[in-house]
Amino acid sequence: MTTTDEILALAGAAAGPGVAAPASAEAVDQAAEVTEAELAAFGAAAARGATSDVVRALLAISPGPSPAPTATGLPTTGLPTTGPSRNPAWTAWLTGAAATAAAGEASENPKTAPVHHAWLAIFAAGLALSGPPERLPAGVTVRAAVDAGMSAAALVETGLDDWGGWSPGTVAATIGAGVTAGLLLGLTGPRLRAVIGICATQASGLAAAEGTQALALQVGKAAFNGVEAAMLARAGLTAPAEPLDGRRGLFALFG
Amino acid sequence: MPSITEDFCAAMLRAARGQLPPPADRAARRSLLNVLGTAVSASGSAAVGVLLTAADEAGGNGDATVPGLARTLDPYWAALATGTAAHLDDFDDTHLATVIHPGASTLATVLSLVPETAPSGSAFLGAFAAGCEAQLRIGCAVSPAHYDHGWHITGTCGVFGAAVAAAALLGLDAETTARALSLAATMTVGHREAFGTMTKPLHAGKAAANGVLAARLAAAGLGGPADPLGDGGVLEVLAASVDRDALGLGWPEGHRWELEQNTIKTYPCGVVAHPAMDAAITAHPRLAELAGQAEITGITLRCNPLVPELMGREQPRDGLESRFSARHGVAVGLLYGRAGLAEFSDAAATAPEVARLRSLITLDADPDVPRDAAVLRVTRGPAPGSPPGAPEPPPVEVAVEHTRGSAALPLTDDELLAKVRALFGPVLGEAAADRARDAIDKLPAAADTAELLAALRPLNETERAS
Repeated sequence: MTTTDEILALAGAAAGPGVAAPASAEAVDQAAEVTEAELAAFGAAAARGATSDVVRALLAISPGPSPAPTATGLPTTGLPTTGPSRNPAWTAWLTGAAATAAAGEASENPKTAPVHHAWLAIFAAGLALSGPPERLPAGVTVRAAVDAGMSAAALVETGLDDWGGWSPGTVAATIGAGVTAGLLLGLTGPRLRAVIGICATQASGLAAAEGTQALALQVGKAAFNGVEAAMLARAGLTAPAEPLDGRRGLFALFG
Repeated sequence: MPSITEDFCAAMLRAARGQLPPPADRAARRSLLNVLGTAVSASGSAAVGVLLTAADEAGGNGDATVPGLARTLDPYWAALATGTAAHLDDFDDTHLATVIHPGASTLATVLSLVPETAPSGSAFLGAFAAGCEAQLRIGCAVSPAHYDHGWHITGTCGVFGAAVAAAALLGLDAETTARALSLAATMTVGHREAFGTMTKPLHAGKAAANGVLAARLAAAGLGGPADPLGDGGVLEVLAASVDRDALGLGWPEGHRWELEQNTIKTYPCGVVAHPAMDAAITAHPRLAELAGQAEITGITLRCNPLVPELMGREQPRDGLESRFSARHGVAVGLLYGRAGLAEFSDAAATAPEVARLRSLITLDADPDVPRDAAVLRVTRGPAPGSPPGAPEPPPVEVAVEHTRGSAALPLTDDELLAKVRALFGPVLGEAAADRARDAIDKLPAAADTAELLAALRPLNETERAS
């Protein structure tokens, strides 16, 4: 079973019964469970970061204010929510960058635990595509989709010991954000595999970005790329079958 | 003292905004015409259709031209669609030393920014030339280690060229452009694992879109890690071995334009297989003479080791996969005596007679064979039904020293125009290719790009369909 198969199995479990092969013990160990408190904390962080320089710059270059997360019971972020743009990928970028910018400020407080960047991107992707239950795919909840994305990111991040100068959290975040977004768009099977392929080939982010404005940008961009990949896969874009374990796939290149 | 990245960006911006030296000017005009041809040709493809569907869902309408389409998109989606289309058929261009296809992402960048920057013809052409040059020099600095490791260098280096081209059109200075490169360094795209799928050409489109975003974010005041092209920067992340001299810092006397080494593809597939296809097409009439009298029993291709590495697919399942099969290119060359877009379609990839011939081909990798050379040997047995002991015809052997379109044997301007006419023909008509060529030749003195853009669009989708 390849890593992509493992992720699809985990995602299948999140999407409800009747999906593909069961996950391996290792994959189950990586399975995450997001709590309401964590989602609330993320929303609060995004709200705090909404006035950061990075978010201001993103708003200045975005095609227009992005659609708001609309899920009942999920946090609001304080970001502008109306305007001509219908692209949820921008919502994901803005939200992920805002939360990361705020987390960067918080991390200067030694009493605050470090924030995992992959989680921020995945939460952002989940919020960007959230909606009331009747608008979500049958059997899928935002929490379950975020859980699956976090588990997928964990599988990717632990897949290598040495990431060179790349940022493992951001690279893994792209895959996780894609899985979360794919589930929220109702993708399964080959289409969800294509999401992983589109994400893997553009997973990026530098360790050297830590301490610069690029950190918040690249975490948010991972969320953007994940949401966009799901939109492209839904429209039919094809991608490699084994983007992670393949001979020229993610693990071979980043290792 | 300016950083290495600022020094590099200053040289690129000077090049973009000054008068191009005649050889670079010619190389830029040829590369631009060629890649417009491939973009127009693929504008009706399934992959571009996917992007248009996604753009519709995302509210991506705008004013930017996508070659071959009547509709226009916002700069982001236009860059994505144009770059993807231009590289889709693997029929664009190749800088052989790096294996970068520089035209697609750079074309997508400069076209997407025309509505908001309203460049003069020379500014447009200069930005295109500098965008190509920047990514080629960075590619040279990380070659061959970067590509050999498995990265699709067209995407990973293309984002830097796109950022430079965008910076040139947006009027950024060297310091701001250096910050754009530091942000572009966090947005690299492209694994070779994606070869044979729609994601491969997406690399060129995404490189363009990301490069523009990086330039816009830098213009808005943001920046990333300092001096990304300097010691310990992104180049060391991209490759285990870095040759920083290849950046041509300060553009020292005698440092050539890498763009002058960009070659125009003659077949719609990986360039390393082109010499083999030249050989197959040369062998075709000699084999055709004996059709029915002898049957091919074996085919051996002595070739550079990059051929099996990059073009090793044995039995491709569709047209996109066939672009990464040297066996397929040789088989269609031997069978049909040509290897154009029709020979790399889904139908050709799955034709039984092509599959049979592919199964007879052995790739004999030889490091002594240059990248632009190949030796093809076809052995034949007696025709079916021949009496026992019937003599075997002598093998047909064809050696190619330099493939057509290589640096040693570049396409002439007339051959290039013929290629672009064929690419424009089904979409806009061949005359539009001539209009595009004429408009490109006038760019250095043109006040704007209106004449060129007019040659790239049908009046409406109905005209396009006809």
